[in-house]
Amino acid sequence: MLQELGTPTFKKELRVLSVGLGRSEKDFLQQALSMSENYLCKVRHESEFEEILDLVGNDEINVFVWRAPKRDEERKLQLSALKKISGFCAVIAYCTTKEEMDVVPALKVGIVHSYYLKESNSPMSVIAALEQCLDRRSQINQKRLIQKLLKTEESFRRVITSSTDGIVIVDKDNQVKFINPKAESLFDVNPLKILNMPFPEDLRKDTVWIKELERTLDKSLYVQFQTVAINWDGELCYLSTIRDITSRILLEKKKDDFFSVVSHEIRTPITVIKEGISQVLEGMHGPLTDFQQQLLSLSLDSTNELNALITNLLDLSKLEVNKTKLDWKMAKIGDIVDKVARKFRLPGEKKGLTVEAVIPESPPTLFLDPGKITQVLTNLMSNALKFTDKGEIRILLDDMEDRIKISVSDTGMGIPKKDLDRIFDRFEQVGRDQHGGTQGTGLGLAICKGIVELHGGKIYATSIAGQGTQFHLEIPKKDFDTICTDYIEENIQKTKDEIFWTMVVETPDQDENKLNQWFTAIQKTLRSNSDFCLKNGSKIFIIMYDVKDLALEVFEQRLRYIETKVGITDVKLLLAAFPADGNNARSLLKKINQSHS
Amino acid sequence: MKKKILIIDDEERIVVVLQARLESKGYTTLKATNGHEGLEMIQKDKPDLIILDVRMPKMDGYTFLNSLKHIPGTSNIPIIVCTAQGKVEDLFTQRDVHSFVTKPFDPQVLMEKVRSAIGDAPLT
Repeated sequence: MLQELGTPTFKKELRVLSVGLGRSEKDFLQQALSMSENYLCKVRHESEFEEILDLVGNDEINVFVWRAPKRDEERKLQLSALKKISGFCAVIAYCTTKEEMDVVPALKVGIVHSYYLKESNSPMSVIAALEQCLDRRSQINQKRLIQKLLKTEESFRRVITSSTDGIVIVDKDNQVKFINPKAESLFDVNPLKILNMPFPEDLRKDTVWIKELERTLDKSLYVQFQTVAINWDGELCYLSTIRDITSRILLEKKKDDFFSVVSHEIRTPITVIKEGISQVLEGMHGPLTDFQQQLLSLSLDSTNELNALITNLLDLSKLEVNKTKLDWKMAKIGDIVDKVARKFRLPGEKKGLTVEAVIPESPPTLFLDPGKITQVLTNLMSNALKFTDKGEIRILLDDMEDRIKISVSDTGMGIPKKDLDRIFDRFEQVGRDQHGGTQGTGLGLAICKGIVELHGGKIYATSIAGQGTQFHLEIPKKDFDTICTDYIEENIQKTKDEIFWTMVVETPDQDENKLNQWFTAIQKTLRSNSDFCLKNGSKIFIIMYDVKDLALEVFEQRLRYIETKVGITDVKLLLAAFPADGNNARSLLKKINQSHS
Repeated sequence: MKKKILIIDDEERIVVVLQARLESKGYTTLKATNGHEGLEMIQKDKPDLIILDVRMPKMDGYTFLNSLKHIPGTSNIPIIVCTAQGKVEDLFTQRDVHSFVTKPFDPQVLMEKVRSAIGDAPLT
């Protein structure tokens, strides 16, 4: 039975449920509640306590008015059941002074939120109890919420503090806002002193990078930073995850050593075999029969093939671990294409094939590794020659706006469409069976792909089975400033573990403005602990990285190398010193200038 | 007088085949298995040309060249670096090197470099 009390609409509506009240007590409650200035109460009465347990659970009831039973036993039983009810709604106890002694302790532990006494017999005491119970309940709720938040916060903190990755947050001035224990130990910093101080590594960039951390002991520590910009307390900050990747780096180094040892150890016996066979074949140690000559020729060819296979394998391994260093130069791509085509003219003629090069009138000059691009084109041409029995092989250079495209096409057997994608995988030898087992290592195209990709380009093939195949490679034209900046960035990354490096870039012109532009670009790229030297007004840049441990002798050695190899003798150095170790750079420059004057 | 070529290489078998080729072309050969021996050999008997390996025990090719700088009267001896390692050109900055040959070498290429360094051996 719901009965509406009072009418004002601005009052907050409350659903009130009472249990165990007598008729006059019900009337008294209803009358008292209707006098509330803040609440519009909809009251419902029930007689049996057991029946209301389900009603309060479903959030229908805001306030529960409980008549404390007169019988002690029953009262105690209901009090313990009230625990559940007070979790869902506010509870007012209604009792006589006799039962009050049981109600007060329940009030203290929050099972009951307020009470009014039968003896007071005043509507005001009911309204006071109503206000009080709602207050108490909201206080308790707040307390619970805070406890829950604290618990969640504690869980998150535990995750972050026990993380095996370092976590650091810095603000726009690179000052530490947060640091976890792993990051503290990686950088050997005191958590109390580092807060709001600049972090040793500049983390203000949205990227991934690797660095070797300096350690006093003879031990290397390599870490990878992965940083993202975040909003932290309303300001732009950077969150960096720092992972110890020492074991991975050391493993890569071991792999490198392994390649170098293998290459050395295999090439030595091959040298002896090849040289021995060559000498006998040349007749150096006495005349040979025709059959002996034939056998030894086969042996020599096979030895050369074995050597090519090993060279290819090592090339590919290096490409796979990103250890291939391109020898970037400004090169005339037209000359490279022409030279490769010429090399194949004679072998082509022997098979009755025309070998043609189509080159535009003024082919561009590009920044690339001429040796490696020649290797790619030679490989494509020799494949074309291998798989073509009649017709022609054509190499075509196309000068496009932002890239060049070189196509090698033949009129050979072609490649089935389903195989076109996998021909660039290692050890794939499509078409070998149909072609009577033509020799090859199955590594050539994989190497080509690796080299072209190192140039930022792509390689792909098109073919019509039975009619021929076209291999296309596209190499982007980079403007020289971009190349220069990329190159510096790449080298800083590569040589981060060396105390010193020099970089020599030949400029296509001697434009002073261009030099200044690069200077700005380089300044942006270098980090604050680096120093930079520029040979002004000529063709050479010299960049020194981490000058602090650089001995004059080493520098002189490098300088002489540049002088003899590049032919620049009048070296005048300008210096841009960065605050971090500007003094070292300055004193080095002084020494250099003294020894040169 | 025959022209003397000093071969410095720790691999005996390489030395054997090199000696066979060079001697058949009329050169005299000396051999050393590391940089130390090479230096001793040079002080006893000045060669006209040195064919130098890079990776050797006791004293490698770089260290050998560094030490050679301090031996008077050796600055004119041409040196051909013969190595199974890839590009080593950039690492040899201490002293002028005549040329570089990669193992396994092409016999014609090697002999051309020898000839260009010290000329043909006089026919005897």
